[in-house]
Amino acid sequence: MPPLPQDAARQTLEIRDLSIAFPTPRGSARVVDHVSLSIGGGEIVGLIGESGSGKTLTALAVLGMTPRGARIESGSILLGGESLLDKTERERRAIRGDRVAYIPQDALRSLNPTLRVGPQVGEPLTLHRATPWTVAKRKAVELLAAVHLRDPARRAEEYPHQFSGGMQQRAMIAMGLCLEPQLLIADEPTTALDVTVQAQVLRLVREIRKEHRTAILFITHDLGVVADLCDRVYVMYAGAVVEEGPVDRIFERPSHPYTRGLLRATPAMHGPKEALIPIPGQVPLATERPKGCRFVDRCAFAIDSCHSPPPWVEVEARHKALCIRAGEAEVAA
Amino acid sequence: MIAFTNYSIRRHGLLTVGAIIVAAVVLSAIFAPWIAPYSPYDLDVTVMLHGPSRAHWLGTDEVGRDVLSRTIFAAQISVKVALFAVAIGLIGGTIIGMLAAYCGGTVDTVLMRLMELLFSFPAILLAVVLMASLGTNVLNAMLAIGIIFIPGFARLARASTLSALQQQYVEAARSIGMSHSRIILRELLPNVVTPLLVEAAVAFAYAVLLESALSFLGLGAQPPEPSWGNMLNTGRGFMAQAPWLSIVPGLALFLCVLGFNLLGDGLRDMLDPHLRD
Amino acid sequence: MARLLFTRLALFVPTLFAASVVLFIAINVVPGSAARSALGVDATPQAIMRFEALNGLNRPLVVQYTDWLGRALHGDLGTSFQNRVPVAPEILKRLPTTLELAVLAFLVANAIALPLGALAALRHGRRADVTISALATVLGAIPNFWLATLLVLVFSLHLKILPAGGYTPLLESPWKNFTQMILPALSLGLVSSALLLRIMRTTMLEVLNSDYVRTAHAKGAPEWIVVMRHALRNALIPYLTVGAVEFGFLFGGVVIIEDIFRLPGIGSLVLVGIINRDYPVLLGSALIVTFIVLTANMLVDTCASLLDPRQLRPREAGR
Repeated sequence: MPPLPQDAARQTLEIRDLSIAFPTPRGSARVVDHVSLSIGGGEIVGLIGESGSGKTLTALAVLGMTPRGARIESGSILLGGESLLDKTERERRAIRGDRVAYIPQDALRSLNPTLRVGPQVGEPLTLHRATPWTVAKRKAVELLAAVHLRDPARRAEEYPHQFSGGMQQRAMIAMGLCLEPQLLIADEPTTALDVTVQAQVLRLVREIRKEHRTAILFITHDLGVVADLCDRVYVMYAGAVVEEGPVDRIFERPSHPYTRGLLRATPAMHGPKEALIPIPGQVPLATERPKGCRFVDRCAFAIDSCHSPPPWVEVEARHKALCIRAGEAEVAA
Repeated sequence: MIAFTNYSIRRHGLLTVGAIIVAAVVLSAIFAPWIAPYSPYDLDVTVMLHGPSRAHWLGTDEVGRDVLSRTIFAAQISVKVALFAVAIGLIGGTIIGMLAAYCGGTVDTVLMRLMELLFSFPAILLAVVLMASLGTNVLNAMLAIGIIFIPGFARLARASTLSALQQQYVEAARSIGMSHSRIILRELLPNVVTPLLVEAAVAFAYAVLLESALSFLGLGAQPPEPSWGNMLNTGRGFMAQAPWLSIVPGLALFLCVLGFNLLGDGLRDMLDPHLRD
Repeated sequence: MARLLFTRLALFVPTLFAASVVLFIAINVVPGSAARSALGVDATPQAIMRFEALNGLNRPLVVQYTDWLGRALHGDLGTSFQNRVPVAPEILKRLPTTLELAVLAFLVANAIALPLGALAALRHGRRADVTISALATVLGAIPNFWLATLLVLVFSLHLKILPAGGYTPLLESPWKNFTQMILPALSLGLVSSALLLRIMRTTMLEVLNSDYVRTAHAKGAPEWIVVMRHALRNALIPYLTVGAVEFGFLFGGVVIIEDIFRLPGIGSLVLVGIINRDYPVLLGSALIVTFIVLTANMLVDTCASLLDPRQLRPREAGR
């Protein structure tokens, strides 16, 4: 393993060159392909991509919860400098829910329908701190109050199906915050919510960052949310990161043709009269990726050199794209 | 990858095993007179209750009849009864189920409530009560079991018909003015048949079981006619001296039921993976 | 909750009535069979007519039914054709035996099905799952009366450690009762456990793949907590609902098993009824067995609902 660079210890999460593959009848499918990303304390980092881009699997790898059959081929995952992939399952279990929390998309389905909300929210305390249930339940009420749930004491005694969608999501967030984790992984937490509720959840996330300096990995396919909330962004396509940088720079100067295509295809990014331009073609199957740049078959700017593996081009400070033509004026327009 | 392949081989393997066993049973039933070494009715008081020997591979019963031969011939009763019972259940159930689905409304509700009620009766009990009136012999056993099967098939037929009814081609047929009966026969029936076949295989197993149970209780095939059930019943009286009388027919019965179950499960996996598990 | 129980009961009572109608029709499906069966093949037409008049069998079926129903509601299930003994007290006397057998068999079946089914689901696709599933397939194909015979062969005749039949009431001698009930309960319970095991495995698999179990893992819960606190109760709800049907099959077996082990229960009374063509006995005992089955179904279904907070408490729009 290469020696850690000087500032690695300062990053809360560091994923280096991670590759995860699945066996399929048609051969091994590398669903996550040499992905690297990092998040510092107090940063909100967005991970954008379509479904199937590998973003959820990356998140699950951090948690150590990849599905059966998934093989981690290479790479490392460091949490506060500690390598996660070297750990035993027992060690990983100790980290899950304690130092890393996971907030999934569908809150209703992610809550146990036969348990009251209070015990579920306070459960991490009993799992990791050997807290007695009475104390844990009291803390759960405090947590529910912290996520702005009205009448938290009563709500803690209720069951998940008695909550609205927004309340359920906030309960999930409360559950995630229970032990003040270093890293929060939010997997499309606002996708199923309507706009007003979405705004509340986003506000909550910002509060968390401010108060606890939690590092937050915000996975989504919603560019509007990213623009609103995130400090930095990683764009994933077909299993690989194709562009990364500060959020305002990415939106101002998208340097990878895929990012550019995404922006042009998203309603939120346009004025009311502008036409939406979808990206032609489809995402290639993990077993049928083109050699060289994976976007080449759908790219309007493809040239001959695109059939070899593309290089990382640093377009600006801390803003780079995996494209040989990144930074050219024509592409960025 | 390897696990996936092993799994699918194992699945189809079960179907094959089931099919082999079923074939063995059915063929034994058909060719019994040629396969069995003795007639199932041949008494020989000189060899009563003898254990397995070269002359009698599976021993003899209390009046010297060859157990192997009787076991083979008993397959005839089981197959016959199962065949008729399933046929009755299948035909009756399909008619009622398709009718209920096609008519809808009150007819549907009434019929289905009735089927549900019948379905919740323990089968043996209903069979016994029916046969009290019908009479206790093999023929009536077929009838009684057949009647008991009707609700199960009706439910299935109704479900398949309902989903088939929603398909486009029924609308198309109706719009060109096809008569009701034409629609039912030409469009609906083929789609309903597949799940029913799967169910029929499992029903076969259950029919064999029920027939044996009834014969065991003395209500089905009457001695000296050989049935696995009544053989086990007579064997009960000689458990100490001739345990094979209690083992062999039961083993045949068990294998037969197992075979049909495996066949049914295998068919289900093959024809409609959604029904699996 | 009260509303739930009330609706259950309200639907239950008509079902019982309907069941009695079905049995009544079934036993009279061939008209005139009662007298002929009771008196035998050589009965003279006069004897038959006299018999039918005596027992009110010459009236229209509907009248016979309402009359019978009216008396049944007062606890009178008629008198035996054979020995003129009233049926209801005899059934009452035998009820505890059948109930004991049913409960024990039920316990045996679930004691096997629940842990093994859950284990198979937890080790899905691996050796334990394959073995358990194969075991369930084989076990489910064994006729319960053959199993009973084999158990008697091994434990009573060969090993001589358990009796082959007979019944001592529980209160008289618990130990003797226990030894007499083991084999019957096993015969009934083992075979039923096969199907119940499969059901448990299926529901558990679904639950283990659910999002809330994933949440439990994400919180760092060890496997035993995931299973006991999060998976089990959720798996039990559909298990009980679907498994309720199997209890009907279990009860059917009561008729045969009581006969094999000479247990004086209602099941064996059914047999007495049919063998002697004693219609009141047959009808009365078949009815009570059916009632027990339907009641058990209803109770199991209700338990499933009680376990499910979504059914107990209505949704409130939250804020």
